[in-house]
Amino acid sequence: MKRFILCLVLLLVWSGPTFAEEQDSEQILENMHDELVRNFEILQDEEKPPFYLSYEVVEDDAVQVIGSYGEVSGDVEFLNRVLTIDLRVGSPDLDNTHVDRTPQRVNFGSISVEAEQPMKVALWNATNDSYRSALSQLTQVESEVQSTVEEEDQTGDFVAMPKEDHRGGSLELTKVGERFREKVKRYGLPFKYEDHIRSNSISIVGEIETRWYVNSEGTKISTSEAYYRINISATTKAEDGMELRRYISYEALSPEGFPKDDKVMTDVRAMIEELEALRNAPIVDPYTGPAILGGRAAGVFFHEILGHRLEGHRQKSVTDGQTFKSKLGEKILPSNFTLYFDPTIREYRGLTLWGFYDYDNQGVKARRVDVIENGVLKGFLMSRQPMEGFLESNGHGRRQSTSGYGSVSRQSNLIVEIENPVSADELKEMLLERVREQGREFGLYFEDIQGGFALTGRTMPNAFNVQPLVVYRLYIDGRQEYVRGVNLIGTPLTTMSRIEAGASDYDTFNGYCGAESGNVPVSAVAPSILISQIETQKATVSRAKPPILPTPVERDDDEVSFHQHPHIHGE
Amino acid sequence: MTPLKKFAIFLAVVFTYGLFGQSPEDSDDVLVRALEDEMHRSLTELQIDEEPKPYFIAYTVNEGSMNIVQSILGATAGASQRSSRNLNVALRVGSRELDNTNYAGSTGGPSSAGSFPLTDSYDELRRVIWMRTDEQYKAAVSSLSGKKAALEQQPNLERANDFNVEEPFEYVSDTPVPAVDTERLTAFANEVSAVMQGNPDLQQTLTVVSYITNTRTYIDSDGNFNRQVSSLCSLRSQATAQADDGAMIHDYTTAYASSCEEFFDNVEEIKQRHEELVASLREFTSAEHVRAYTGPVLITDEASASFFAQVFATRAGATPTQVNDPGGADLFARFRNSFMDKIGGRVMPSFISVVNDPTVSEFEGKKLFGSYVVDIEGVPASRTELVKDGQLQALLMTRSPVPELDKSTGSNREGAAMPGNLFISSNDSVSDEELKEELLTWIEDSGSDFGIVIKRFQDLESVVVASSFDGIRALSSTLMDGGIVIFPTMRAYKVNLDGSEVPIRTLSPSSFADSQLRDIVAVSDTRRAYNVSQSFAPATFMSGWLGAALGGFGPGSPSFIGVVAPSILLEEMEFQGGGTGHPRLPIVSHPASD
Repeated sequence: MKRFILCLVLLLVWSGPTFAEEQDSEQILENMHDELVRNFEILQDEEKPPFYLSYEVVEDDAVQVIGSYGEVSGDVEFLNRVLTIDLRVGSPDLDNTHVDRTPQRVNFGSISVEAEQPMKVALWNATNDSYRSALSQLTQVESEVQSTVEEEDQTGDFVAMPKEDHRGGSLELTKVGERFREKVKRYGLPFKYEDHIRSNSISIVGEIETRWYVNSEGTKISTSEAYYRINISATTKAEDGMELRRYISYEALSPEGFPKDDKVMTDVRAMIEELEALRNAPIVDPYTGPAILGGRAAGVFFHEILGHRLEGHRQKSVTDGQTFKSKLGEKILPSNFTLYFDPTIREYRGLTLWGFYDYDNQGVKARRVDVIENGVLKGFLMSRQPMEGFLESNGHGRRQSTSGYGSVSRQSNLIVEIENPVSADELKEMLLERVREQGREFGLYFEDIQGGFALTGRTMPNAFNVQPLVVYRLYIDGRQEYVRGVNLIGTPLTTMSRIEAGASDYDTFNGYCGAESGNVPVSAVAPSILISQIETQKATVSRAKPPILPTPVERDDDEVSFHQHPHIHGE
Repeated sequence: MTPLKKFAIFLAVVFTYGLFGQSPEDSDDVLVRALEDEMHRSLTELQIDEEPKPYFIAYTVNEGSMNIVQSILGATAGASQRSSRNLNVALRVGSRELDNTNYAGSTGGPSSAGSFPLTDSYDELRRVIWMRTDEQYKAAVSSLSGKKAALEQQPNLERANDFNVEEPFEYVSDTPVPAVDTERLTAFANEVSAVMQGNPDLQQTLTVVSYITNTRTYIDSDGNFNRQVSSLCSLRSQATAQADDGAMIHDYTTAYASSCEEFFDNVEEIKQRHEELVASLREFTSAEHVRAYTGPVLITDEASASFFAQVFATRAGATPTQVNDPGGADLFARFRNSFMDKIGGRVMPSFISVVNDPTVSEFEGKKLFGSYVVDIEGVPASRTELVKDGQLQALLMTRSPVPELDKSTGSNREGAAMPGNLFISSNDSVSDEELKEELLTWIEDSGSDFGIVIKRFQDLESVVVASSFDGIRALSSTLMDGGIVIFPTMRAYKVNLDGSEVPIRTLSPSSFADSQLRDIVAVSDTRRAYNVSQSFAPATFMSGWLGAALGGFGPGSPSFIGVVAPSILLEEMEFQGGGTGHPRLPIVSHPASD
């Protein structure tokens, strides 16, 4: 048995292969550039030559450790190298991507960067495939344009952007496997003897994403970014079968950027207590009335309700609701509210951000975009697809790097700032004032939200649904009471018009946003906000009974003490 | 998605995990103790109100590791390593005569816990076993209730018992799990894939080398216990060229071994196979296009093994009757094996016999990967005479009886009765040269100018890579009609009357009926062994790796059928040629040609 344990430990600490980089980063870029120029120039002799070509190679080097209840249950290391090509034929006014103006699948596949010839063969072959596909797509586009009515927005399909030249250094994945395993065990252990916990998951991921990008405008970019993340989630089940989930995450740009273990363990224990409280909380009936969204909840709210509707490509799509297209220059938020997107920052007010990058996936330099100033709508997030009044990209053409999707305008770091904010306590007072005015017993406080979705099309109601994790009632007499089984719903324009005030207690929600071009990392920073009237509906409920037999795990107080106070370990 | 991307995903899905060794004789086996304790508690205490307790529980734990390296033309394109441990729970309520299984409306199925600890923590192992057993019990109670209701509406449905009694069997493997040096594996993948470098004929290549180890621990409430260790080092290199008329030509080479050391020791031979792959692609870029063909066909080399894996292995296992809800689509009836009505009847020519023998691990020095000791229901593998002198003698069985067959043959491999190693033999064979002469005679007699020799069929991986319409059609016909899959040809030749052979483009077999097995008119006296990836049986298709593809990684090891077969001459087969609408040739020259 001892031999087995030793074997196991040896395997767990083994950290996988190292991959010799025979080409350095500059050589990779040069070889990509050379092959791009060679293909682009030769294809200019064709009847329908490409007018734009870009290559993006992404290397994803990652390690993930997962576990629960103080044990490790999965251990993965991987290295992926993926090529994506954007080749356009026709003209910037009408190109092969035009159909319905939705992102096209682009050519992508595995590629090696270690040696010149294998890389060039992959680039050449993918260019060949892309050119064939693009010609076929263009024929379809031309046919469709002939047979449909003239489009409202005549701004074309593509804008040229200035040549960029950027070298972002090179990061390497730190050997973190063993440290991650220790953390996974430590953070999971407090769940072990809690009878009300139905499941829990601890996941720690370290990832280095290195990108090399060249295009026919002469742009050459290399960047290297680190993403480190701890996800801790747990569920409990109420007696009526309702599943309740709590979730916390910590993001960092290096393993050293993670919070200290004491902080995480405190949060874990708070999560356990909160789940117990939520489990015993009453189910709330559908409600309309005043509510506060805490900072994280407000961040998700703005991302879902407003952010998606400010993505430029939606303003051109004939299938999209285009909620804010005609609101440019109009007031859509209180006049002390400003909202902008800024992918150039990695931190805001001490909060780590997740939606950062130096250049977008179309080779355009990232920049801050002020979309709402003093409550007035000023602009949209733009990719290289222009729209009326916005003929340039503002560096928000994004896509999931290894997905094969084309880039569209996507959110980055959403920041909501409020001039003359009130304090958090004053905001609660304002809520209770609205409660009294409306003759109610209580208002709702949405402390945390796990995510949500927004329907922006025309065939379905243009609505949103946000799923909270922690909600409580704030009674007039100051009592607080957890409630459960409630989703926040509504329509964007009405809900935005009912935002009354904001506080100064900023918080952030970091996560991955899924949309047409795949999952991209995003952040949403906001303070708590007061909405004079929101609407909720009942959440879905599982009818499955709790386990029939009691847990077979017997509490070991010594073990709990040992693992919850790791400093004892060295004594 | 590019073909090679599909191929990479396919491989990632097909090849599952492996593991670190655990001393099987260890008296303090925490895993086994946790499984036994929770099984005992569940059998005695797990009950909802008036519903029955479980009468049978089986636990299977697959634990292992997987290393994969992707290489393109001598350079690494990707790599991954993972360790995992999964629990499957099979639970039955009711009785052996009538239980919750074999019901099309079943709400449960093999349960695979995603968070089984890698370490031997008794408490945490117990917790996951407890939760999964609870899940499966509730699903089983619901299924039994639904099945009884369905049967009340179909009083005349002919069905056998749901579960039989077998002698308990214990087995613990003492095979050590060979380790692998990942850096060496990467270097090996790059070295062999580099053989294809600098070749302007090749548009795309991908070499994937993987090493998977697995230790499977099985325990059930009938007293069965086994622990089996397996390891597989596999290589697959895929390459694509384009003919002058634009047709895309795909081909591949594979290698399998129990240990990657065998690869490292035979690197020159494996490189040679890559050179042959390149040569074959070049040969087939100038292949002739045959519009259609009906006539005699000689199937040789690995094509013969594929042929038997495709047309016979799918018919070798009995399929228990599935109870459907009245009015529900009788989907599972389509998968009923038509050979179940032919036991005692002639299914092949009288000079052919077929035996399934998973207990044999080699044939003439070649390892057979269809060998195993115990099946996934804890029943020992056994030799079964399936066809004797052309007559069907028996079918392979799991522990689910069918009318008139109630004993397991130890053949439950991926949730269905499947062969391990098929040995096709003949008491009336001729030499390879004489077989070809016979082909020429049949060609003359049929009044045709030429015949066909097939040396390689496409396999599932190549169908995925090539996005082969005909290959996908062949698959879908199996799924929808319970028909026999014969994938299109990959290496086929036109045989002229003077005996000369000319490579031809892909031919797609038309439908193949059971009765056509009797059209085999001659076989060779030489037999060759091949390991065929098992992906043809509908039941396997539904429950095996494709299921894993849909739901994430599944447990267990990739399944192979070892096939030892002679070359065969069929009196007549019907084929259709491919179309002529091919992609245009590259405008820019290959980088290696400059």
